[in-house]
Amino acid sequence: MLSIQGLKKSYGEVKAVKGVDISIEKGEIIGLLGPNGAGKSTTISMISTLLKPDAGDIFFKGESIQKNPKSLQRVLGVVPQDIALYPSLSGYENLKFWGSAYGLKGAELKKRIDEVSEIIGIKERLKDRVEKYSGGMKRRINIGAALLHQPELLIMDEPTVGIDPQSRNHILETIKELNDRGMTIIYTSHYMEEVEFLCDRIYIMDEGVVIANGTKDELVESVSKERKVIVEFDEDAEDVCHAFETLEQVDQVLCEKEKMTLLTTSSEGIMQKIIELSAEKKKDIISIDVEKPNLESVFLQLTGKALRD
Amino acid sequence: MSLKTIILKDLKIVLSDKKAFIILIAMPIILFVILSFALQGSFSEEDGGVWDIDVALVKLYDFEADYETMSKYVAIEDAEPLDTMIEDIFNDISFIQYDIMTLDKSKDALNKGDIAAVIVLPEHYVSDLLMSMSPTFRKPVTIEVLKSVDMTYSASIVETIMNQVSIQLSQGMIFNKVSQEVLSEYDVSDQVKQNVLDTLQDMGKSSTELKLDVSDYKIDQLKTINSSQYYSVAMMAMFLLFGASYGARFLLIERKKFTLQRQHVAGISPLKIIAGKLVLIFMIAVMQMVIMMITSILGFHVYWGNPISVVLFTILVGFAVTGFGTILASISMKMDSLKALNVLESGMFQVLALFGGSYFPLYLMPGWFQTISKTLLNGASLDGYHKIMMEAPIKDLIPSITSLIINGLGFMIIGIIIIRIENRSTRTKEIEVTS
Ligand SMILES: Nc1ncnc2c1ncn2[C@@H]1O[C@H](COP(=O)(O)OP(=O)(O)OP(=O)(O)O)[C@@H](O)[C@H]1O
Ligand SMILES: [Mg+2]
Repeated sequence: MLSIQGLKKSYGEVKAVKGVDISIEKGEIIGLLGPNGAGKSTTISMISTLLKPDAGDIFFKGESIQKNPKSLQRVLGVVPQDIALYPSLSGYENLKFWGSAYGLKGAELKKRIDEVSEIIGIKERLKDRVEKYSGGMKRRINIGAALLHQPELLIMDEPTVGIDPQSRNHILETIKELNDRGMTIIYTSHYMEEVEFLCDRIYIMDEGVVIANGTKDELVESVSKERKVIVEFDEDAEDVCHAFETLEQVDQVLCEKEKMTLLTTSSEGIMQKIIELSAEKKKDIISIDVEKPNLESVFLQLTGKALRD
Repeated sequence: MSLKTIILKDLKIVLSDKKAFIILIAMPIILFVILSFALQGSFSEEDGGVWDIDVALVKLYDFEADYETMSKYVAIEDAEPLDTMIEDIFNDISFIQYDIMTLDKSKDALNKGDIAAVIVLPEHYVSDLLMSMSPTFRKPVTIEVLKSVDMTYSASIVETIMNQVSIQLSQGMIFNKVSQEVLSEYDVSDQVKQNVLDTLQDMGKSSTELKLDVSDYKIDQLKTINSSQYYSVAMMAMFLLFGASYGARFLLIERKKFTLQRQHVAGISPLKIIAGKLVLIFMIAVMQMVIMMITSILGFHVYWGNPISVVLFTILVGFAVTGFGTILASISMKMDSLKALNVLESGMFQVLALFGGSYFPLYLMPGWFQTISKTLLNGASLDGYHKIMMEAPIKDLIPSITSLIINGLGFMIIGIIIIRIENRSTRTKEIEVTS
C-alpha cells in the first residue's frame, strides 16, 4: 500500500532522516518506535506531504506522492504530535471544520461527527470550547479530527503523550478497533508497551535511520534467544537447585531462597519438566513466569542506550 | 473545501478573541472618546460651532452719498451690487452668519467672544471701488478684517474668504486699467471709448459678482471639522494598521499551533489559506470602520459626509488595509516570529500613526510632514475621510484615493512576490542538500 524508499531530510545542518525504507501492507498496524529526536515526526511529515524529502520517494499504491500528492491526501488521516485544533472553537466546530477540510458536508458531515465523537468518547462535551478540555480530551479530539473522512491510512504521531492512563487505554482500544475494521495505521511512539500492544510490525528508529524491523518476536529473537524462567516455591529451595541443572535445555540456574531463575534458549516443554521435577523433589510451586527480552532490551542491545531517559 | 468555510471559521475565531476585540475595536473607540472630550474646544471656540461662524459687517461708508459723487458715470443698478457684494457672498456660505453693526458694537462683540471676526468696509468704499473700476483712476480700497484671538480657526476661515474676495476684485480692476491703457495708445473717438468703457463696466460688474467655491476654503482649512470628527477618523486610521497585522498574527499562530500544516496535509492549497486570511483582514477593517462610525454618530453626532461616498471610500480603505496586511503576513511568515511582529506593531505602527495624524492634528504640522502623511495608508485614509466630512468635491479626494490604490496594490503585489520567492528558495535549499 505504501512504500518508502531511501528517504532523507535535513534541517540545515541537522540530518534528521538519513535514508529510511519502510513498507506497509493494507490492514497492518506499523509501529515507528524511537527515542526523542530519532526522526519519527520528520518521516511522518514527509509521508503526509508536509515536507518534501531531500532524497528518496514515497509510493502510495505504486504512485509517487511527490508527483501526485492529492491521491494520498484524500484518503490519509494524520494525527499530529501537537494538538492541531482551534482552542477557541468548540469540539463540534473543530470536527466540523476538519471534516469539511476533507470534503465532507451537510448530513454526511453531521453523521460522521456523531459517529466519531462516539468513537472517541467525547459526545457530551462537544459544545464546549476545546481550550476548556482536559489534556486527554484534547488528545482524543485531535485523533477524532483525523477520522471523520474514514481514511484508508491513518498516521498517528505519539497520540498518547502526556495523558492519564485511562484516556490512554481508551485511545489504544480505539486504535485496535479501527484496525479491526480494516484501517491501515502507522503508529509512532517512544512507549514500547504501546507499540508492543498494537503493532503487527515495528520499525525501530534512531538518529535518522531504521536500525531494525520486524514483528515483535522477530526483533526480540534477532538480538537474543535467551528466555528467563522464574520459578517461585512455597519454601526455601536452594537445596534442590542443582537438580534443575540436569534439564537439557537449561544453560544456567540461579537460586535465591524460594526463587529460582533458569536461563534457557528454548522454553518449549520446559514448564512440564519443571513441574514434574518439582513434584519429584516435593517442592510446591507458587508461580512460574517466562520472561522474554522485550523491545526495551532490543533497543538497548542495538544502540547501547535506553529507549527513554 | 470552500473559501467560505475557511473564512467563517476564521471569523468565528476572531469574534471570540477577546484580545483582538480590545485592540481592534475597543481601544480606538476608548481613545476616540477620551480625545474628543479632552480636546473639545481646541478646534474652535465652541466645538462644532465652526460650522456657524458669526461675523460682524461694519459699513463706514454711506452708500447714498458715495453714489452721489459717482452718479454721473455709473447707473445705480451697477453701483448697488458693490454695496451688497460681501453680504451676497456670506449669504452663499451656509456656515457664516453675519450682522451689520457699528464699529464700536462689533468690537464689543468681538471682545466678548460672540463673533469670530469683524469685516470693516472703509469710508467711501463704494465710490472708491467704482473709481478704481473706471479706467482712469486708481484708488486703493482696503477692507479690514479684525480677527478674534479666541476663535482663531473660525477667524482664519473668514480671513481666507476675504482674501479670495480681494484677489478677485483686484483682478477685475487691473483688467480695467490695462484695457484703458491699451485704448489710449490709439486715438479713438470718445464714442468708441465710451462703448468700450460700458463693456468694461459690465466686466467689472461681473467680477464683483464673485463666485467663490465654498468648498475651496473648507478644504484649505482642515480645521473646519471638529475634534470628534478629527479623532474618530484619526483613531480609526491608526487601529486599522493593527487590523492589517491581525492576519499575519493569525497565520503565525496557525503555524505554531500546527493547524496550518494540518490544513496543508488535508490538501488545502496555501493560496486558499492566504486568500482566506486576506478576506478576513478586509472584513476586520470594514468592521472596525463601521463600528467606529456607529459609535461616533450615535455618541457624538459626528457627521461623516455623504453616505455613498463614505461606503465607497470605506471599501477602498479596506482594500488598502488588506494590501498592507499581505506584506505584513508575508514578512512575518518569512521571519517566523510573533516577537518580530510585536516589535513591528509597537515600533513602526507608532511612527505611522504619528505621520498619519493620529497623535497631532495634521494641519499643525509643516508641509513636508503633511506630504508624507498623504502617502501613507493611514494618512491617506484620514485625509480622505476628512474631506468627505467636509463634502469636498471629488477632485479633492483624488490624492487620497490614488494613494490608497497605490498602497493597496503595491503592498499586495510585493507581499505575494515575497511569498513566492520564499516558496522557491526553500525548494532550492532542499535541492542543494540533495546534491
Ligand atoms: N523544524 C525543524 N527545524 C530544525 N530542526 C528540526 C526541526 N524539526 C525537527 N528537527 C530536528 O530533527 C531531528 C528529528 O526530529 P523529529 O521531530 O523528527 O524527531 P522525533 O523522532 O519525532 O522526536 P520526538 O519523539 O521528540 O517527537 C531532531 O534533532 C530535531 O531537533
Ligand atoms: Mg515527534
